[in-house]
Amino acid sequence: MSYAPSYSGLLTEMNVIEPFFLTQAEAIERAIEIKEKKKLIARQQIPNVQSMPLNLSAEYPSPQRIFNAIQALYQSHNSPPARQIPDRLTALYRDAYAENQSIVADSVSQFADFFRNHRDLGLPKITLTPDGTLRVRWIHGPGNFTAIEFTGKPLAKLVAEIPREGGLTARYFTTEPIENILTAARAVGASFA
Amino acid sequence: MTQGQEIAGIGRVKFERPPINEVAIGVYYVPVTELRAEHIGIYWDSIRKRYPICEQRFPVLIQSEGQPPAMIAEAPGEIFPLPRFWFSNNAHSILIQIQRNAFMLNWRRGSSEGYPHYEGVEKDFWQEFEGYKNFVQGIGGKLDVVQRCELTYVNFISPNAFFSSPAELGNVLPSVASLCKMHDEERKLVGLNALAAYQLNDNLLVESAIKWGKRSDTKEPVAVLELKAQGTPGDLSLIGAAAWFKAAHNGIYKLFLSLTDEEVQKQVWRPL
Repeated sequence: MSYAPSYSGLLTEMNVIEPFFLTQAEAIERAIEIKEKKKLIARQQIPNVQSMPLNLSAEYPSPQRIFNAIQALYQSHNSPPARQIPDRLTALYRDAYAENQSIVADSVSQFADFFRNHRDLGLPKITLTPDGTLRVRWIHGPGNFTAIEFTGKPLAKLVAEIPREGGLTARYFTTEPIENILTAARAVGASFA
Repeated sequence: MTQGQEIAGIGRVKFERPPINEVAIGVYYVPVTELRAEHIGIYWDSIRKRYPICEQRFPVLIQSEGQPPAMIAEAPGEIFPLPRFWFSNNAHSILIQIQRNAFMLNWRRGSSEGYPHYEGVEKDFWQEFEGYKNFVQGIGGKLDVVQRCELTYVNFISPNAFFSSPAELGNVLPSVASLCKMHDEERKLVGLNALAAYQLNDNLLVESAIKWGKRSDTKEPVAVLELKAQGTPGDLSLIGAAAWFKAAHNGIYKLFLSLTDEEVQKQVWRPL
């Protein structure tokens, strides 16, 4: 878990202490200055003495990353129907946590970024793969679906079955850079409704 | 500080005269966008008999690693950002703090009331939290997906039988003894700020800060021992938060015992 000590903002001002080395006149000036600085700190997030970054660990904790992804999705998907995506992600994460199943934080971040950038897509079925990555599927009927697996790496997996004339089904299994995956899928007739 | 006479198999020590001046319990969660300024008055009305004093403060902003600088959580259509609200009782001993993405409860030492011990503060916290949670649900929001929990103790250690000058502060807080011994006729110790952080597990850090100065209210010399636990419950849930607070309290308790001198614990704070 990474560490960045922070100003104890939830404490009240009753615990403020002053250093001894100030004279009384200085102390008054200093008190005013401190008050003004506090406002500034709150507004500009300038660390004070208590918040010297110790940077004890560069490791980035997984629950915090998952939270960031969930929060970003709640902010971008603010209507009740759209909230089903972060709601589902939260439920999946909690189930995985309870069962001690790993969940790839990079996959969750990629998933969140994708849906924040493409808010017009229909609500997919969201599942967790045995590898701990997120997979989403838009199922339109038998032999008719589009699925994306968020690997957490630059290339995402695309799987699709698309009905063709004469009762045939085209099957696609490929990888694409996440930025291009919608374009590539739509080019072969995949739907995200 | 805290702790109980033989609490359910843990064997903690409670003190008769703990040096605790303030305890704060806080939970941060996904911002409640349904919460608007007009709702705050309705909520206050529901607790006003117990907490008749209301004040506004700037919201506490917490920074998540890998994220842009923290901003005040705003809601669609809002003209002015929602501040943090303080609701306190007449004695100012209990303070509820609410902002769009957080709920906090502080116990503060008043002139007459004794310390209710952690169990009492925690009980008050969850009781008030439950009431607020129901209120938020009533306006269509939810207090879910926990981002961070914080538990903070501020201990004020005034000069006592074991120390009367900064040079003797090490008698109470042995970890800073070497710094305090530098105080002599030629150089006087006039300020101290020692910060350390301990990782107890992946989701729990405890930070200790030892300071020397004078109280801003009474101007009396004082040593401050601030112990702050912070972390994210592994499953990001409120149930996980409750378990996290128990672990955090245990971690703070043990750190307090380790940081303070055993004789001072026995003779000044006095185990019950």
